[in-house]
Amino acid sequence: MAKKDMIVNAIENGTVIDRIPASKSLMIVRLLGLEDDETCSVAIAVRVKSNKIGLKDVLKIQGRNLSPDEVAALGLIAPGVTLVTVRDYEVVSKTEVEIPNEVEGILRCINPTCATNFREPVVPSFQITTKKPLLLRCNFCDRVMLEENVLAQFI
Amino acid sequence: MDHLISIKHLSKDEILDIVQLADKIEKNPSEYADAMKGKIMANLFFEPSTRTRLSFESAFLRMGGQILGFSDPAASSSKKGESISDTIRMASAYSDVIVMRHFLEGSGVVASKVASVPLISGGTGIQEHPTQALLDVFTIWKEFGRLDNLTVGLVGDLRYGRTIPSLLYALSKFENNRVFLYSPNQLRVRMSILSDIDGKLSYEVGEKLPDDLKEFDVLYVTRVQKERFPDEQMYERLKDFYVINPSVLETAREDMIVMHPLPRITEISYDVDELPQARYFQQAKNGVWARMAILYRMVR
Ligand SMILES: [Zn+2]
Repeated sequence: MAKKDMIVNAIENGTVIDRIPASKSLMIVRLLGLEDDETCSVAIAVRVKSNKIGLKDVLKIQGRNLSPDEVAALGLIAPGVTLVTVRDYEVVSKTEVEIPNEVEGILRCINPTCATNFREPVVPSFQITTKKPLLLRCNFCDRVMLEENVLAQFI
Repeated sequence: MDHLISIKHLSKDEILDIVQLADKIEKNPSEYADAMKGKIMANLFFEPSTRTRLSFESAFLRMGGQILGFSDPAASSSKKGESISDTIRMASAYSDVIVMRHFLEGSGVVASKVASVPLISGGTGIQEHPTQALLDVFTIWKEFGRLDNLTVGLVGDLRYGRTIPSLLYALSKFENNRVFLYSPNQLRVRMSILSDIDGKLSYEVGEKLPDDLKEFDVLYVTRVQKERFPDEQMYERLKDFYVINPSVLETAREDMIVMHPLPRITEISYDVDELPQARYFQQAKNGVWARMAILYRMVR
């Protein structure tokens, strides 16, 4: 850990997302709604040299843990990132984020005539029908979405 | 069966049960004349429909029930901005069963999450039309005495026609059915539907109808729907892509049946009506029996 701590200071409580493919960190910031979240502070290191994946981004979020739905969505846009939970400067868990089987909330259905895109008290949800290539299916309207449809929601 | 939103969720046995019950009801309707006595059906048609709405009304009235509802969305509170969910909650309080037709895909799932009485989809956008598929398989079953080992040609707008996915799902529940999907390229069956039936139903996709139709047990024709096209020119180009007339049917077996969910425009010529294969008017009539069976199973 020593090397990357030189770039971004260690955090006391919160989340570190490591080994983010270069250029995906801003998507993750948007996915987690960090731009508008004033309860936490965010540090981003972009294009850090990594032995394993070449260049990577690192995101440190002080004062915020991710919900299961957020972790699932993270697994869609950046599978393989490392998710580290920190409490009192100690790493309490460290997991590799995988492509989920299902995702609830966070994503919108790309079908403009899907009922979830209207004022209804429902949370959009999707089944991941295949992981490679990534295909999702809306649980409400059956519309299929591709990886690019997912990524486009966070650009 | 709590709600009927998609044929995907029905088992083969549930489909057969509806078909056999529809047959029983048709043979002896008086036995069911009071089955819905004291019950109220809410008919909520957010999109204009004549056939489906009247067919449901006829089915419920024949079983002694009463009906409330609307068929003109302009007259309903949805035009004032009320959500599907709120409308369904309200209708749940007023009725014993809800039939809903809505122009949005996914509306059936949204509605089923809040409905506290059985909810039956009368069509949701381009997604599905489950009761149409059940009356279709009832029609086929009456003709052939089976729902397996059938060769079915589907012709026309297979992309936006909401009856198509439901019918394919229904046929995919039974063994050894083969379907041939004929449409202009722009109106092919959606990939998601094909992936659903993949491995369960053998299918071929094509544009040109074969010269020889003698293999077919059923030729299912659909209308190219003007309202589904953003531009008129494309509609004009495709609307007469297939015209089924007596000469097209020359090679068809006498016991093949021509079906159509109606209304038809030009895709089946009027002189087909006189041929032994024409079955679309009977099919519409079967809709009442099939919907009586569906209502009978769901409202008890
Ligand atoms: Zn959807």
